[in-house]
Amino acid sequence: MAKIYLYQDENGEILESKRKLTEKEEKEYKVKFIGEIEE
Amino acid sequence: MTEEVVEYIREILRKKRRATVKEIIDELYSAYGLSFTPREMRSILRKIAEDYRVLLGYEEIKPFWRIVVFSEDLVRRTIFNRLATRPQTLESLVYGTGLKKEWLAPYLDYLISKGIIGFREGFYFLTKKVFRVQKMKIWRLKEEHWKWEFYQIKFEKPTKVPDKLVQTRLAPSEETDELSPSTYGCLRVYVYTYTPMDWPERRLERIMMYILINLGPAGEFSLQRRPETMKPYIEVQQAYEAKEIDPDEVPPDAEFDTPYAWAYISKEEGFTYVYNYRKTVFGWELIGRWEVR
Repeated sequence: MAKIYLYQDENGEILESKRKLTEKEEKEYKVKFIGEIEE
Repeated sequence: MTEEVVEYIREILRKKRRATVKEIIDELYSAYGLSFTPREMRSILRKIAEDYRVLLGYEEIKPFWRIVVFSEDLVRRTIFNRLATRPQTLESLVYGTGLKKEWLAPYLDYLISKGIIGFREGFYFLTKKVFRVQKMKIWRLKEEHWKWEFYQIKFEKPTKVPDKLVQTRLAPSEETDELSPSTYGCLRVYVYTYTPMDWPERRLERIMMYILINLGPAGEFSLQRRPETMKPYIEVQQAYEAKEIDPDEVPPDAEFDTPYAWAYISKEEGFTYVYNYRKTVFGWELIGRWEVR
């Protein structure tokens, strides 16, 4: 089981990442964290 | 998740060809008033992609990736159109469909496993295997009812029925001109096709519902029309089957991907009324009724 972190960018698109981004990275990529899932 | 939502998603994709998760969520909300969170939609899409009702791709937008969803119908149509001209390599199908190799290859393997396309020496080709997809719904009386043996559906000609009916003893053999004693109503919808996935059970069920509600025998099948003493003993059974058949089994006048529908009502007097329906541009219509003894 691996964790997948879900983010939403400023256009509302859903993006996925294998690692949790730092706050600094979230600002840099203009995304917000919306949840995580295990797969 | 209901079947309806899956159909809406497929419909959205048929119009757009490809969409992101957000686009599907937005479209479901604006067109159908349905609301989903990204997490819910992601899980629905991954689930229905397992049996290839939609196709998924993963686009990398560093340090992320994004799910892109493709219409399975349109991708399949493109593949078939290309294969209809000549066998194709994976690369040429990738070029034709716009899907990446790693997204398309598993889907092609799936089509091969279904017997719809073949693969030899680096080339994909159409197998042109013929399938008969059919659904039958049967109304019967439980045998403890005193009149059960008066009823028995007789077909107008020897008919190939789904194997399940033989296993459940509703039919004596796979090819038969009658069902077992106790059967008093039957609806049969079938189609000849190269692509059985275009004819899932729910599509044939919709045709059956249309015929039952709008055309001739609805009242005859209705519980309301049966004598009170009979009602507790009535049961409905159904069987759906998509089966590869020999091309010779397709009647010369049958058209591919055109559904055919028949209804049968057995009478206590020992004969069966046979109803034949035809699909026209205006919908289904009854084209004839006669008796089989």
